[in-house]
Amino acid sequence: MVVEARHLAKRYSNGVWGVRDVNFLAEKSRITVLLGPNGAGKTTTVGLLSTLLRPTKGNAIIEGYLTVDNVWKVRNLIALCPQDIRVDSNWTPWDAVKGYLLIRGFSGVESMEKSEKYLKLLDLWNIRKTPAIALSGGQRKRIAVAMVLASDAPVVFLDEPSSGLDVEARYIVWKSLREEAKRGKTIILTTHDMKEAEILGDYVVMIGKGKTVAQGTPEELKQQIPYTHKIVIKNARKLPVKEHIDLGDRKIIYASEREEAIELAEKIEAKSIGIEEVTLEDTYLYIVGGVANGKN
Amino acid sequence: MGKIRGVAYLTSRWIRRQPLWLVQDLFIVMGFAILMFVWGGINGLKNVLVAWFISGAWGMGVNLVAQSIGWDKQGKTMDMFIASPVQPFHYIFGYFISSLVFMVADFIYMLPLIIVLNAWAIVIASLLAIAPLLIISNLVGLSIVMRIKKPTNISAITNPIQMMLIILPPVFYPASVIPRTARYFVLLIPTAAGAEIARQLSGLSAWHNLWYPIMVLLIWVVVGIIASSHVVRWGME
Repeated sequence: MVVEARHLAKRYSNGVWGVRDVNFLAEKSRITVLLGPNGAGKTTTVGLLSTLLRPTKGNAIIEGYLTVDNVWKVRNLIALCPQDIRVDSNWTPWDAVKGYLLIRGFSGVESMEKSEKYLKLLDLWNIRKTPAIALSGGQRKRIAVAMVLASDAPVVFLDEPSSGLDVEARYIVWKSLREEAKRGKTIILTTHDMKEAEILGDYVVMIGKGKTVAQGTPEELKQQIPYTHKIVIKNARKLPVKEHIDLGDRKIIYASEREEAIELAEKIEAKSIGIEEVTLEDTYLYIVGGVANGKN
Repeated sequence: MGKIRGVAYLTSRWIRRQPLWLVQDLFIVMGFAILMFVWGGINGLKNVLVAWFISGAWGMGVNLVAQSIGWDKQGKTMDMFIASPVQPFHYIFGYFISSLVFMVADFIYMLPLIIVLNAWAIVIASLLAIAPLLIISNLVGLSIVMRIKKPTNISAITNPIQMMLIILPPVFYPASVIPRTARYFVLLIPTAAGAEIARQLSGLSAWHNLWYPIMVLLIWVVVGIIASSHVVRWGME
């Protein structure tokens, strides 16, 4: 175990609870995804673990150190890419990564070598001398990711690192994160993108309304619901069951096994019918609520 | 030293990419020198030298460092620094070093005047006076920026403070022109006390009471340390 959140709770000075009871373990060499809707408490959780915030209750533990008692030991072990990070518009990718590494105590030569490696990894090498003001939002975000990955910190926090990125940039970031996890880093990232959590996460922690609602590998989580398949129906004229998720002209019916799904599909009259395996998104909707609450 | 160097490296990038800020300073130095010479002759020029050292030191903390840190807060790069081995000392000192370029530039602009007037005594006296003033201005700037709710408002707060404490009190003019009783109140302002120390040490002041402005600045240093230690938080909020 490398990072542990134990009954973490944070109440801000205005009386609002950021999180109420978050629990999980994040192990070495894997990507742990904190998954939840906006306002669920993901950023607060990262703030608590990365020493930005002091827990009101519970413990944040990094490599066996309680953050509140060993703040400088912990800070030597972590790196954070905050949500909505905006690197200084005067920094070039080269400046940003090199400067951040100098700040973390690397020598000039080491910082230059590592800057080159990580700027190439994040596909920023060709624009290394361009000030950030002339770069896209996605390129700026990748600069921040390159900074923290280059740091050699064994524990890396990334708060929504791929939000606002185009598909290509997102895959570049995902690939770099997978490689770093393989090298032994503990990576904790937040997202509200189910697909990102499913593709990237070795372990997924679902957070809803400030509490951990479920956790496990994506496969384990998918087994936590009593369905294996779903029928996606477009322009239904007749449905064989009452219980379905209503998305306007599209409806979704869940089935506990493939045979049941086929059997149900034969009774449906609609413009088009598709049978798919359940995804992490279905699990999330089932466990956290959301659309599932709108079941007819 | 490496961490301070790193902060100085990153925080000096904007000066390197926008050197016209340094050119702006050149015109301000020249403009005020002409203004003071026209109205006050050689004595006016000597007084403007003192004023430039004081305003440079005060502006560095209250304006330059505070605003730069405000932008770090706004852009969340400060959160990256907090969640790293960087300590507040590295961070502040790194900013201080990168901001020194403005004071060095101003000194270079003033150099012809210093040489022509043979004003090295004023330079030494001013350097002695700005030492505590640099500490005070950085502590005040830090205290403001670290507690401000909206970092984007930082310029709107620090610019008026900077101007108010440089233009109004006796910085560009000697405190001795103010009636004696009022002088004691006016010299409670740190910039005025700093300027008075420099003027008395270099023989530019008609008043001889060095201990009063020294005591004022020492009290400001102590108050600044106490205030900033209460309001400045480096994470764990």
